[in-house]
Amino acid sequence: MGAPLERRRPGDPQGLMKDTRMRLLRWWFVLRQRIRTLVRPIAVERELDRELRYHLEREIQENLSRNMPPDEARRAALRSLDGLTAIQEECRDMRHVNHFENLFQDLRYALRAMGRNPGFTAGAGPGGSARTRGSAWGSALQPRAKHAILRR
Amino acid sequence: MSRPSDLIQGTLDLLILRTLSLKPKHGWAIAKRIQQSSGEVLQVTQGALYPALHRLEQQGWIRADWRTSETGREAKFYSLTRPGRAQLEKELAQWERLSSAVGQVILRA
Repeated sequence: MGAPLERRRPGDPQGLMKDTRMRLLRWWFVLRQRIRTLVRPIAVERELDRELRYHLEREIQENLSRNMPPDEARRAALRSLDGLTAIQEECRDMRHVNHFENLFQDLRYALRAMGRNPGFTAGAGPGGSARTRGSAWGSALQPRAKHAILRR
Repeated sequence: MSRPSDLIQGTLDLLILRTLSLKPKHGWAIAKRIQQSSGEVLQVTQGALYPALHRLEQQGWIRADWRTSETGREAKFYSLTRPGRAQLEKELAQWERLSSAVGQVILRA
């Protein structure tokens, strides 16, 4: 099934290894983010608040520097952040979209490709176990239907 | 760029990654940079920008840390991860292919 993909670079084990390294590294970043959202939800939420507040302050400053009266500067900045709650909500949603499923597919492909490459026969074992875990985790973390459009 | 369609969303991702390729920036600076370098044509609203940043962070293309900004306040700075840099290269190549293809059609159709 995935055969054409895996034959993409038949004579390029170094490119394949670089590819695999990138995938693993990315997988690590995603995992770290995911864990942080799960383990420190309050800190994550507070950061979102601080982040948007900083933006608001910069807008106000910019308006003031254009000689807008303070009251109006603030009002205009708030207007530009129209629907603050909606923005926060959308940012939150982004944290709960399942980016794992694709990554597991990615990882599976990478490990399998390594396993098939004569230089990486040792990779075949871990590939097998990642396959099993991949499907179990993948189905446990299905995204809600409304996010389907955001998945890549 | 307020309610991103699929096409716009992909383009916004590309613009954000490209803007971050030189040095880390916070959200406000990213929006300003895109606005300035597009000759004030592209206005990225917060409603499009912040969800995109959070999505790119979740996908492992960018990472964030808190640093002191040019105003002396702490701000959330985003930077490209190594996989993000590789992704930028891919997306730039795709974009060039797409825009030259569209150009060809406009010219010859």
